[in-house]
Amino acid sequence: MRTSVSESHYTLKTEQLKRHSLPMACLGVAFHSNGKFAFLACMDGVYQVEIESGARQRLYEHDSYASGVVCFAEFNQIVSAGYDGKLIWYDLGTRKIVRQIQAHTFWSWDLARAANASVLVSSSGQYLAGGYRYEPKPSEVPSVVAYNAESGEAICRMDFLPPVQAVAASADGESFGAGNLMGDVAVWNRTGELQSSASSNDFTAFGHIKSHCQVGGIYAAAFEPKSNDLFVAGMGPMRDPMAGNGKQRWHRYAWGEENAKLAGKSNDKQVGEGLMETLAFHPSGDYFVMAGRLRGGNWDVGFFDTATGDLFHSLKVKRRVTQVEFSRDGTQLILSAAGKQGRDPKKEFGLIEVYSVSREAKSA
Amino acid sequence: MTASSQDDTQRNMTCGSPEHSVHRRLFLEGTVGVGAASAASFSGLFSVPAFAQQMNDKAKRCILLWLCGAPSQFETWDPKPGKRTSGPFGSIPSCLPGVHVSELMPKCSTILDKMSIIRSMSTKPSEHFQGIDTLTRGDAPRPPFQRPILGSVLAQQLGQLDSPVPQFVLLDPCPEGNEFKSFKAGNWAGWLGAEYGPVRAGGEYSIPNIDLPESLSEADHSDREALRSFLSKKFANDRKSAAAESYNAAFERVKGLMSCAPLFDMEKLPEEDRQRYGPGAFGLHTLQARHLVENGCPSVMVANGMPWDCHVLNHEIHQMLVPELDNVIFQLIGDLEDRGLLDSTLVIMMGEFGRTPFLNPARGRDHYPTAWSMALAGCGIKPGVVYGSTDNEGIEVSDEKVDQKRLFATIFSALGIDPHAEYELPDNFPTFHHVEDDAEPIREVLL
Repeated sequence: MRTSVSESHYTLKTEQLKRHSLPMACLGVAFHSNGKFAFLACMDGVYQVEIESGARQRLYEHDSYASGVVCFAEFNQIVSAGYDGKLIWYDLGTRKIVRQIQAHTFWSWDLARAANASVLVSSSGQYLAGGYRYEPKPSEVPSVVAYNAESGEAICRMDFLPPVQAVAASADGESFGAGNLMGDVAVWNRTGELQSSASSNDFTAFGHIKSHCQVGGIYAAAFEPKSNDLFVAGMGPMRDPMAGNGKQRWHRYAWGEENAKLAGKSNDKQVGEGLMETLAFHPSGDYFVMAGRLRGGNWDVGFFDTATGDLFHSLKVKRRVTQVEFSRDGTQLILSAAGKQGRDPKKEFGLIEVYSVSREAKSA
Repeated sequence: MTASSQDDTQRNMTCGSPEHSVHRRLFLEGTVGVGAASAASFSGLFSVPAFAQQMNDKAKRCILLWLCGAPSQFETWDPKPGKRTSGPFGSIPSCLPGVHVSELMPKCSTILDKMSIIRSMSTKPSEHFQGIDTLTRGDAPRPPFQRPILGSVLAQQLGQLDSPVPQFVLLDPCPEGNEFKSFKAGNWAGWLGAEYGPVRAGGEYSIPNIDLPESLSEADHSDREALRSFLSKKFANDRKSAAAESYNAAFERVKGLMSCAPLFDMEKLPEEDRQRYGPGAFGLHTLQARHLVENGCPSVMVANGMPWDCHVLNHEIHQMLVPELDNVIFQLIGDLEDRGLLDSTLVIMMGEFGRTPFLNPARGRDHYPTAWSMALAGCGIKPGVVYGSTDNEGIEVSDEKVDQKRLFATIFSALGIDPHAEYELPDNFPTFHHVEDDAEPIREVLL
């Protein structure tokens, strides 16, 4: 397990290029590979934003919040997920909805795509009391579903203890990973067969401070491009669950065996407090970003060296960062965020920011 | 001592006749009625159908489902679909024409004709401790005088001090609870005195030391208590001792608890009922509350720590808590109705305030006393009423503002208690009423 505090192999330079607001909170973002557009999953619908000018267009709405969006420039479509449990395919050429699938009976917590554009995967599951101390009740329907990205055909459906708040697809689309409220992680293959699993108490808080219920859990997942290890992120156990003051936290799992092995984790000396809800790897795989809400500490967007696990760069957006994504060439980073909703209806509280990213290897 | 020699010893204390044993207790206690009731076991007391029926016919009771931390009105009784304040959940029609509730409350939507909803609560305190204090006592503090909490007032007004059943029970399994924890450590009964304070049970709060030692028979235990009571009363009469009175109150409570311990045994409740209410702690303790009021407890407050305080992850937590609340209310009101108890049992469902229309950056809603909702059902309450309203976005009360005084005037009136009656207080107290300032009850929600 890598928990060293050795220095990173890199130095990083980031510069904010653009900052645009949106009417309501942005819960997900996807870069178009041409770098000119971003697509936003917002509380009030799915938007297209021209990055240079900030010109925006609301493309369509879900019946509730749009919670995630992925872009497939390969066939000129985007797919969004929503708290209505639907997946919606939208064609960027015809500007029309191509397909709607009621993927879940409850909302979609997270949506992810494979880098090779073969599959997308969505997770769901309602947290209902399953015991005296509010252990989650097992779902009666599959909580993780994978689809062929282009045809919309269901590939496999997986049972996993809800709520499944984070999901990921490997770069080749052959593996799916997920994390839930209780700190459980699982990896399945493309046939839906469970490959590996693990469980940790590091991500959730039994509500002993204020109440009997679980709060927190794993809110982000991503496969590391080189090793295919599964990274998950969220928030550590909280002193006060309602304040969200657990440690900013990630875990790395090597899942080659039935029992996934904890192969690394964030160094508590390098993190602050707050729910982390997004992970993204630089296309090189050399480093990754974990981001979310800053409750206490110095950063809400942290850059970590994949090899050492060390934090080597950070940003302070002072918003709840909901998703980060690198451009395909790795030179830019885009993030979506939510601010405080104001009483003034004209006040916009959704946000995207675009940064240039450049790095230099440290000399030995 | 062997079992036989122990028996011999007991017989030697009297002639062994149960009748003599009873007579001695009656002599010591000085009254047949009180002594009989006090000494009887709980199960014995209520196994007399006529007595139980009489209790149920006359008694008024109250169950307060205390939603501590403050639930969101948007995700319960006052949804605003399509508005920027609505959150991710939709609304569903109820059995009342034109009235919608959150989609998280499908069961309650079918029984709104048995309830009254107040959508225009507007109060002042915006912090938990002050909010809890005000909404459980009915008024803001006036130091150094401590107004009793609702359950204590009801224990005094509706209860019977000589009953073996506790007159005010707090069911709360959670030992913690931030501000609620602090509040729980305070003086609940206020100027009414400790005998009207709650017996706390539920979860980690079993009632300790209420089992008779094996070496002590029921009769011998009663004899000892009768002797203690006699000497204590004599002491109090001679010395006018407040300490002795308090001591006696504690003994009376323990004695009652010992006799009604089965009431607090969750395992003794029917499995089918536990399935319907559970499995969460709040549901099971609401079932226990039903069981307690069925068996003579006039006032039960059910809490579950402080789970509703959703400054972070408001919707993620409400999606679990509201369906449980929905089911618990549905089961409770249905059961009370089936048992013929709804007309005499007031069910109150509320927290200390509401939650903000607008989201903070942490997926949360913050404290909002300006405009919020609560619900009432049962004793004295007109069913099928939705009282007051908020504006389109739920920011302000637009119609019929209700503060805690009007709410408490309504609660007292529903239970047949004069809301404007004076408390009987020592001469050095100022005048206090059940509800101050002649606050008017909400006539529209009263039968």
